[in-house]
Amino acid sequence: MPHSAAKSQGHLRRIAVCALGWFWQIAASIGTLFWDLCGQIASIAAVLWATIALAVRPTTWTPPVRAMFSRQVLFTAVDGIPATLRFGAVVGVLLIVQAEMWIDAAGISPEFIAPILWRSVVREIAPLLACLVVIGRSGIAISTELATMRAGGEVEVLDSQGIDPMTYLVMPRVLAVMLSVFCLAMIIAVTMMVTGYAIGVIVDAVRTSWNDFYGQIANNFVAADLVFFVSKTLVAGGFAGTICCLEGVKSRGRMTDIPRIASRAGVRALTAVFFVSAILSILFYDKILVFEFG
Amino acid sequence: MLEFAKVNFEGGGETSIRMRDFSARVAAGELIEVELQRHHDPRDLSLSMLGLDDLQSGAIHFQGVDWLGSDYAKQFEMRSRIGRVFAGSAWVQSLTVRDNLQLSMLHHGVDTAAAESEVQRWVGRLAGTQLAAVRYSLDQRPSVVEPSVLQLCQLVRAVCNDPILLILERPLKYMQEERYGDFVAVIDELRSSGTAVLFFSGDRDEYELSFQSPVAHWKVVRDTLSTVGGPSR
Repeated sequence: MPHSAAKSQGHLRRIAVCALGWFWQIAASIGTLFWDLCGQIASIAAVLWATIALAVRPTTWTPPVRAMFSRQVLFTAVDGIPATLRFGAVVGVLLIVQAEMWIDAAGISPEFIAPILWRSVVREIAPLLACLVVIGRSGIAISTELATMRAGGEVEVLDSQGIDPMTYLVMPRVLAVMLSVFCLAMIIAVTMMVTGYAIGVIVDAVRTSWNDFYGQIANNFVAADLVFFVSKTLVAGGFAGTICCLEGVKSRGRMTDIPRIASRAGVRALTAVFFVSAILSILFYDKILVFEFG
Repeated sequence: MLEFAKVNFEGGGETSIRMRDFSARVAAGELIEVELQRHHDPRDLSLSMLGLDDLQSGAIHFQGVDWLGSDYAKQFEMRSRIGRVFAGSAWVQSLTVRDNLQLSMLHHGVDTAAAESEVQRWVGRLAGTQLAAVRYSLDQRPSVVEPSVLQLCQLVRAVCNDPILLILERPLKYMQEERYGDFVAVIDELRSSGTAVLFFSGDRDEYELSFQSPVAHWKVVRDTLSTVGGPSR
């Protein structure tokens, strides 16, 4: 009997030791993940800060840096306009159909729904959609290009000639992405409103004249909209550009890694954009969902 | 000019050239020839001389300044005064050859006209019978240019804008033998104006070059750089 009790005690002790071991392993994994995340955020913040610090120095803007910036703006913003118009038009139609549905269901007048519609477009949908377009079209291309340059020894070639890769490769791309998100978000907002109105009139969902419709939008425009719009597009664009550049230049220099780097850059940039967008909304509205702070 | 003080350097690959307690000095106008074996890759070693690869210990000074400092702007400026012919990948593929040749000059304050005239001057000096091919290649991307023409362009880029130090990693690879005379003349001319030259030569038994004396020789013994000279030529 005492022998069997000792045996079962030993068994229990082994289970406890094993469980404790698992607990520490899980805790260590969570800790590692947390520190990795902190490290990544610190790297992104450092690159963003360096980008701004370099951009405000006139000596940074040498002819090759200016050329690189122009090329990136051309590729990211100008070449992205057709895709932006398509997305804006489609989402505009979806939005006006939804709005009309809620007007009918809730039995409220369009005057109530117009400010909500306008604010959700300018403050949330347009910046987010512009980020999606820019990451999909250019962000992944940027990380692929930089990873290829690193694998092909091109970054070393630049460094050897006394050209700072941060100044020549990263800074113009991050700025171009920020600027492109801002410009494309404006195009998206306008496209959504115009197509929304046009489709609404065609299907008899909108019964006001263009002047009244536009007047309602103009009357609902407040300075806070501009603050939301500018900060959301520039901050989210900055994060997206920085993450795509960082993923590219951090690659270990193997050609076989490039597809993985491109997909990882896209996913991380998208995640960051959604996070940044949510955090900025919380800060601006001073609320998490319906719970008010303070 | 370039000074090594008890440098220990391992390099990143199996074919890298190492340094073990290596101390030496490259003075203005000096030509040092390092004869490589076929398997040697001098790229890591050159990177360490440019302050772009970490040393295990010791220090490398360029014009009296240690690469370990934190004045990065000054370091980039210093690197812009070093011409380099790369063994292996040497081009930014998204730019034309002309843009590649002018990139460093334009980035460091040389105006476009002066950069173009500098490129044309050295193309004229080095291209010889390949002049038309080199001029045509200037507007092409490097990936579509013939290797012997690209190698000439690499040399043009290295010697443009009065370099203080030239690091030449197998500069004669792909180069046509008729061009060797022009190459030697240009190197001698630069040396007489104070440029130091570190010439990593390969397959030296296959050709003769008669540089102006004196020419110092360093050797690679068991993959390690040594100042104990090889046979003088």
